[in-house]
Amino acid sequence: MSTALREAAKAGELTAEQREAVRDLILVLADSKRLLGMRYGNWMLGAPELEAGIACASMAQDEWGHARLLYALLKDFGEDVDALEHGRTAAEYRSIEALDAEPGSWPELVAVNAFVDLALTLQFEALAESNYLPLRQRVQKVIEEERFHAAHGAAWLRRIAASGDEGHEAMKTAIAAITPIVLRWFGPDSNRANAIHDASLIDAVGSDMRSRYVERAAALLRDIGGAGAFGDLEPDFSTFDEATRRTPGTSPDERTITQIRGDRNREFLMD
Amino acid sequence: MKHEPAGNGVTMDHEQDARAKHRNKAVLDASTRTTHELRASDSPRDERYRSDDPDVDVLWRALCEVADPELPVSLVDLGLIRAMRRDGDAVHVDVTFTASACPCMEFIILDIRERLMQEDGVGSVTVLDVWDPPWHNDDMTAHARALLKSFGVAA
Repeated sequence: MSTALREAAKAGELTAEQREAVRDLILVLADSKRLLGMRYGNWMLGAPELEAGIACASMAQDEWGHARLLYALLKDFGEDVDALEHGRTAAEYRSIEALDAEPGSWPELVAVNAFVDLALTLQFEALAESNYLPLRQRVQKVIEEERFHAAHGAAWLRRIAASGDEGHEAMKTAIAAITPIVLRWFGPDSNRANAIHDASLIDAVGSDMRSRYVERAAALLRDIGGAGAFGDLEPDFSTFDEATRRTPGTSPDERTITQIRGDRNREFLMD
Repeated sequence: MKHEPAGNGVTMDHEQDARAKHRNKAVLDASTRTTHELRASDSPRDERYRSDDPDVDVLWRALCEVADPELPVSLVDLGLIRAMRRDGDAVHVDVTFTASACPCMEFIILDIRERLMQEDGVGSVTVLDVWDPPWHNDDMTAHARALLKSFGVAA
């Protein structure tokens, strides 16, 4: 391992390689948080109970808050934050592929809550001691707020599993679709990943993240009697773009991105 | 030190985003909103939220008169004001929020600026949002807890 970098108060203090990798990671996380907020938000009025709908509203608000904290950081990397937030097409989004489509049922949303939100939180935990100070200073707040999301996801997971009806099957099918995407999303142990790991900008490379995820997700799966839903622990990265953490040519649905951009709201701007 | 120094230059665009400010001008105009009237003299001093420098301490007192937009409690008593510095006529305030998606951020920042600009010798106010350490219930003063209890909010 090379010598650890000293603390960086600004992105300009990182090497070009580190800067690009950290910037890409922040954008991937920000876009994923934004999409996840939309997915939660759409269930504010469709959840099976009033309390669950309110929880979705609250989680959506948190996710958008986290996205805002992250987008704001990208100014330090010379980005036009307003253009990033409001000027991109669906094809330019870097959100995790497991959020590309709207969950079609409540059990599918619960699968997202428990298994996609977990992946994002684990990635934040790996940044809790980052040498890039502005990021580290924001991570703890995110992790604290995520505890409630994890508790909500786990509680509903068990509840749906205990019901034993078709909702349980729908949830298991959704989990089986999510986990391989997440395991690949953590990325290969590449030179790029090692460059930021060696500089203590992050405390894990892809394989570490996969181990952590499997450990935490397995505990959830045990609770619902559905072990063995993981895909290959050595994912196929042949179509994987490390910068976007996606397969090129894929994207979230355009309708959702139009809503996120706020195209229709712009008609009401008081310019 | 409990609070890491701010000033890494990374903050939300409170100053520069003129367009957003313009867009929200009507809703953000403090004079059109009802806020709770607070007097600094009603707020007992908490050792954490004062300064030995009288020129800075007067600013802490001033913010004891700025209520949270949703509660009859000052921003100081809530523990949202993390630090204040004076550099000539420029004042720098580090502020945190109870939640990362606090819907009142812009209100709070405008209220801080408006109140501090009324103090003698203050020519500009820069507000920096800080998140480390995250806000916690313990950051509230005993006075804030008592007020919230009387207001029916669990604290």
